[in-house]
Amino acid sequence: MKFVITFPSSHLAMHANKTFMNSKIICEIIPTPRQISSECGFCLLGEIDDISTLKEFNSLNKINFDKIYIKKGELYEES
Amino acid sequence: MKRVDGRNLACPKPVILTKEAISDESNNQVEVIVDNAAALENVKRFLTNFGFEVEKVEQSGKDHHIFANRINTTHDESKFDVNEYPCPVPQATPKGKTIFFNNEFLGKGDDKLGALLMKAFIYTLNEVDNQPKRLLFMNSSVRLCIEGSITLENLQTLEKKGVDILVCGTCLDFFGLTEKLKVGKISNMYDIAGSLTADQDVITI
Repeated sequence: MKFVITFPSSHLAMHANKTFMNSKIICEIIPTPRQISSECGFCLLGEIDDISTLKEFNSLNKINFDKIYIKKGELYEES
Repeated sequence: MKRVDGRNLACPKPVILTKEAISDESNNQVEVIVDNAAALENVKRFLTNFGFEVEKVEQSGKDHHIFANRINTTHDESKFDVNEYPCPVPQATPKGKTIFFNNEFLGKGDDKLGALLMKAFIYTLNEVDNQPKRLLFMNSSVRLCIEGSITLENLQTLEKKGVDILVCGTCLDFFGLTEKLKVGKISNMYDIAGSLTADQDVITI
């Protein structure tokens, strides 16, 4: 499933991006979709089989994030 | 005989390709194929102005084959002005902007931020309603088009959707990246300048 992680700031998004680059979870930094926020900012878009793996990774690596969304087509559901 | 295929190309591309062909002095005979009246007149006039004599024009369906021979080697290339070979007949050209990238980073101030902004911008080009028609890359922006670039996948997606991508060959060579190009066509100043001066809507990023 595709996921999006949002962050309180672009700095935190960029920092998280570096952490993910060294992991097996494939994701990329993209502009935050307008369906989630009208403000400018970065978020991470990725793909994973089990969302709990992502939450565990975030916790282990102390990633400071805002919310996780599951991308379903053009819709984003908060996880 | 050097063959130049100018079919399915918007002005002034057929003239520019012909100019490239005759700039090689070993090409003393050329056959230029075009598929519209404006290109036929422009190419014939260009050849006549630049030391060639049009021997004959053969028509095959909607295609015109222009055969010409070099008769004069002394002509001044600096006098070439692409604007002298316009398209009087409006041609159906793809809509959308031409975007000229002259830097691998978007904006000034911080290169790490600039790299990510550029990545985000190119990602977004795939999402917007008005897809660009053409992307031009010069100087350090050619790095966006090579193996390992974080923008490569999104550029390849744009290319698959029909976006024309031209990458400066001189710049690739300067940075030693020619063999690493993974998207677009290696281009030259004539093609890029031709696009910048002929395309309707051009923006620089």
